[in-house]
Amino acid sequence: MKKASLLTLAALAFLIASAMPAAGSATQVNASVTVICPFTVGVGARSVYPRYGTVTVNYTASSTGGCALTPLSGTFRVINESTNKVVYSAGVTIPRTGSQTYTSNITFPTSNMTNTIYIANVMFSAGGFSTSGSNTFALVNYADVVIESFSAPSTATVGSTMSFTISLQNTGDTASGPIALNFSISGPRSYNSLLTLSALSPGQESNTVIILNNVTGVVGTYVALAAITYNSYGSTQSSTSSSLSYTVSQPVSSGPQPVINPPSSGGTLPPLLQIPQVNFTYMPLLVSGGRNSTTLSQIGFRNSGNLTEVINLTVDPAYSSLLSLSTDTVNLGPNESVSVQAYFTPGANLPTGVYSIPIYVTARYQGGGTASGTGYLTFSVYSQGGSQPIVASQVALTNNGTVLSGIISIIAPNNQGLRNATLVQWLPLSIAKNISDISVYGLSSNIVIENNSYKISSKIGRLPRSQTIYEYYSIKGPSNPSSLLRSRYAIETLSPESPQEVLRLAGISAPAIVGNTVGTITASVLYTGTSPSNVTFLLVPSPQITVQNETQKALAFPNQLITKQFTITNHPKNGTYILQLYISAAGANLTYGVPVVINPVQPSNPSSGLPYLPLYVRIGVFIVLIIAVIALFKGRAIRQRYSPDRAGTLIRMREQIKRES
Amino acid sequence: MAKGPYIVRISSQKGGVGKTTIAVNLATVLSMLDYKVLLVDADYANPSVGFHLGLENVNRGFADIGAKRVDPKSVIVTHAPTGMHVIPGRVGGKVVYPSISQIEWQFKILREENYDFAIVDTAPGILPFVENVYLKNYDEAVIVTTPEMASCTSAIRLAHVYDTLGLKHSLVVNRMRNKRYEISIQEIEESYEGSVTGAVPEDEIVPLSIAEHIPAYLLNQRCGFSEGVSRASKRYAARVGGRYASKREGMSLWDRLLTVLGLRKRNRVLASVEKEEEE
Repeated sequence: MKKASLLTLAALAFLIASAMPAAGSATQVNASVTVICPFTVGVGARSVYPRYGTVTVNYTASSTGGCALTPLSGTFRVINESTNKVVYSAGVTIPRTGSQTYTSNITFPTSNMTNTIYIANVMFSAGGFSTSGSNTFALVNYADVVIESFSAPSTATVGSTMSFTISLQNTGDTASGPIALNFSISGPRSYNSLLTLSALSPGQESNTVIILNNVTGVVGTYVALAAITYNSYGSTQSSTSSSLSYTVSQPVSSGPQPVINPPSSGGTLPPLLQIPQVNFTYMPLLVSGGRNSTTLSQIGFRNSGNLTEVINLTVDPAYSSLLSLSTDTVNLGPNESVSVQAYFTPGANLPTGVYSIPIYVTARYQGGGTASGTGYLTFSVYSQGGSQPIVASQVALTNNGTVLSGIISIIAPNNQGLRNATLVQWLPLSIAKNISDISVYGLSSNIVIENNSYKISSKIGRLPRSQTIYEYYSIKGPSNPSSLLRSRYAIETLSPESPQEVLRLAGISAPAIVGNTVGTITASVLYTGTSPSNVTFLLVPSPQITVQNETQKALAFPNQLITKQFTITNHPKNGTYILQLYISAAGANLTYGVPVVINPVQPSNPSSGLPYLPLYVRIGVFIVLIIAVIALFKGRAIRQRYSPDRAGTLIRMREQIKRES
Repeated sequence: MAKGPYIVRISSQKGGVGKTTIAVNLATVLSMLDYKVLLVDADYANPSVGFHLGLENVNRGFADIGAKRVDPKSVIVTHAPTGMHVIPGRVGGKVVYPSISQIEWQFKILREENYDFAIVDTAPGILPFVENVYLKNYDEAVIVTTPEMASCTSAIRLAHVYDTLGLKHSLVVNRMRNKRYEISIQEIEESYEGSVTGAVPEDEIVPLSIAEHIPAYLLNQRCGFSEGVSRASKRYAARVGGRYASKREGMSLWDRLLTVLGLRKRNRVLASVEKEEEE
């Protein structure tokens, strides 16, 4: 605590004489004496406070005369040291306590204060004398510890060691307290740890490496999350969490060839498996996926007994290369539920068809016997190449079987994205009673009944390569879920326009020629398909008109304008003839009738040597020329024109800006 | 800057010149050219990128990243028709301008993302209440102006600020009507000390595109506006390279023929771009 300059206020006597004494009269003296105990005052404050919320300092008055402190009122001020402006002011008191020292706290807000140095001052005055004490402190920002980087290998194989590196830095103005690092991994295996790292001073960095060998036991995708919390001047701070993902894959092995086991033809799938004390709460009816892709599904369990159970899950060994589970052992208390993720990975050479994969479930009571059962996950596998989009689907019954929910994922090929594509799925008509029972969301879709199926067309505007997009659908009151095995999916990469609009006629000449002459027909067509295509032009001749190059071809790219010329010769008979022009491209064709006018042969004008033109044609040409000349000059008059004056004005302003800034 | 995307600041000293329209369509064209693009709405007071792209209901924005309220990746949304990523503005809530440290944090996040371009649409002028030093985080500033005296003067003033800070800048002239009373490209080139990278005509497609929430370039790639933006975009594509970065872009067949025959003075805009690329 800093002490103020000593006030030696021994006593204050103030004498008031009411009047001068008169001769012979008695003398009367009125006196009022106030005695104040001498004291010093000081302000207690830390040297640095974070600029957040409020700041609390204290002031202490101490007697220097061995007497009890006299009650007094004073003022507390906070002054900006650089500007000398008072930013906070409040009254303070020394009450009658009968003791020789008095200490009290005072709290003030920092909302109107900036990061700089301040003086906290307290002053007491009485009878023209004053004593004060002061102290300085600085307002600064909190410590600000951020995760600079969080890295780990993006791929690993089963059983390998993972190394995570986390870099921290304190970008704030003050030192942090010890840092708590919360590090967790979620995925097929989960992991959680809380590490305590040393404090960081302003600007200081630190690197932490975490090496784990128990987080790659199961194939799958994992997400690691790092978040920190720390203390800064009594306030708990936290940073934005940082995450990364990594994929654990199985070492290459040649597993046994799975046995194709089509489902029963009974029309409905068997009910959810019931084994003693354990219920399957969620089991997909059907999961479909393309070869060489991974489809994620899940199975739900609930311990319906009143004892804690250990549940073991085993995939039939014949299918272990096809299906893996996120865990093989689950501890469940009474009425506890859990979901186990199932990864279905059909290889590139897997025969297409329907696979029902047995999952053996064993429940073991604590200190009791064992119960077991078998459930089946049904997968539909279809063929596709690596350069084709992957469509995977999952279907499950929810709400006690009253709603069927489906998820369809579309993965763009690795080598190219999808553009203007349409996902078409055909669901069997027996799956729903009415078209209104089917809801589709996620993509812009429409549903029609076509060929004894519900045809759902969903538009995909643009999907970059290797990216995934999802569509969801639900069916109220599904009547025959197993009929979904007959569902089909297709990605159509045609333009969403009707095929005829892929070719658009941009222009065509309809010539008027004189008999026995050669003319030219020019046709332009805009190709708006999504991939390059050959465009074929065919101008069919008529008995009166001969076409020299009646068939022409050109390779057209999307949005390219193709122009072709045809040379025609005609017989002398005048009239109007229609030639059929056929233009075709992949999935589209266009037909147009081209009118050709043949005028009668006119005698030439021997005096001028120019071809004969009727008078009305000459007048028309003259008027058109006049209009063209007027339009040309008018256009020049209104068009943008260079003005040296304006340019000069702009340059002068530029120089003025430079000069005066 | 060696790391991260090429960060472009779309700016102007005056409002209403079409910054957001240029930013949205510039990002659209670059995205359609298969560049990885992040479009950021950094107009804290009046964000409008969302209205252009149909993302007006996404009430998170760049400010939330600066305030460290959210995971940065959760703010990024994908614009489905183009595949580009967008950080729209926060429409609701109190307008809070970021501090220098918050801006530095925002750019740190931007630099960490794996994009070819980050197109940042900003409010008119320089961000108030903070010093201009944050501008050094950009790789280039695009000044958008209209061909009239007040707007051009403001653009020159803004260019001077950028010159003072050593920030590379270029000019896009928007809403050109080709009228006698408006300032010509030649006058702008003579007075503006930088490269004029685009001359974009006034086009009815723009208000239509805003009403439809679809970038004008997607509505009609052959209209005058889209062709102007496309030419400008390919010049910016030249900054990072790639097969679409053609310095010949912007010259019609007729122009090239006249130039070859020596009957036409070479396009000043094109010449300045080529000169810059050669340097």
